[in-house]
Amino acid sequence: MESNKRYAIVLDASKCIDCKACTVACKMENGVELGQESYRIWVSMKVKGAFPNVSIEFEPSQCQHCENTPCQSVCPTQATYKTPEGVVLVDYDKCILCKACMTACPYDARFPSHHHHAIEKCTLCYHRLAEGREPACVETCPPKVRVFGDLNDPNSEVSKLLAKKRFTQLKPDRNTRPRLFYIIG
Amino acid sequence: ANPPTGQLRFVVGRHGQFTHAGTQNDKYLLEAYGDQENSIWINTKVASEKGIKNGDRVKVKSKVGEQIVKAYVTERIRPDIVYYVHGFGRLSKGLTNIYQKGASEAEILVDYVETISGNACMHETFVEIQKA
Repeated sequence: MESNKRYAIVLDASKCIDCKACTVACKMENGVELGQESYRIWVSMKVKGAFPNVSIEFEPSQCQHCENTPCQSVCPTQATYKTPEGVVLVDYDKCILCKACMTACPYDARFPSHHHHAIEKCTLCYHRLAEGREPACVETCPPKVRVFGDLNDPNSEVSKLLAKKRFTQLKPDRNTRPRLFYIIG
Repeated sequence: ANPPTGQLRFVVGRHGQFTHAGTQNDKYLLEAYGDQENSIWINTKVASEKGIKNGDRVKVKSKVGEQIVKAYVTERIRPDIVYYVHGFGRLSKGLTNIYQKGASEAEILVDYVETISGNACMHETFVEIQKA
């Protein structure tokens, strides 16, 4: 099935205040179990410089929903698949917990879920999209770090941002072509 | 006033996800805080002078009390100040997730009241720290 949509998230990490609203909202929305190892999304922190010239940078991250998808190509049971809009999902019934995908993922975005008896990760809140709702992390973010939308729609907020801002992607050397874009400066 | 020689000013602070008793005992917010106990922020230079490393147990002593708490050695704090987040080391067993975990700042704060407004002055306490 073809789709005329290509979902993506554009992030402006400079707006992030590390409030963790996104990580809590993600766990509540998706019923992700408690525990520091069970994360679909996270915020990492980098401290630079020495007192009194110190700065801090946050990097919110999650599954990058790669177009060139290493977790999908290594999966022996085709449990990992892509929706027509390019969202990378896991079919929990097909997953045999071999963890090949966890090894293949350059972003460490996957973890074993006791609840699903499968490997799980960010779904871009695919269950919400059909209702026209944004992913929980996007909706809840107070400073609006994340913008969600359709790359194929030139009038979408993501397309407009990518047209006028400079951006980068995580680990571009891996040639994964992520659907997450990080605005620079 | 500057702290007396050998002492540091202890300041009080709350955490974004973690403010009063109801939020402190919420397991999702506790997880968002990122640890099961609080840590005392110590400037890197001060910590190295005192031989304190990240994760060491540190004794924090004021003239009214003392607490043992984990060290967080960082550039993110002034050399003359130490701090740990409010909300840990609680005495109520009802606060199941934080009962006696980490350190309480109420145990070491010296009571000062600002007489015009009636506010508690919570950043006036001087402490000594040493590796526990």
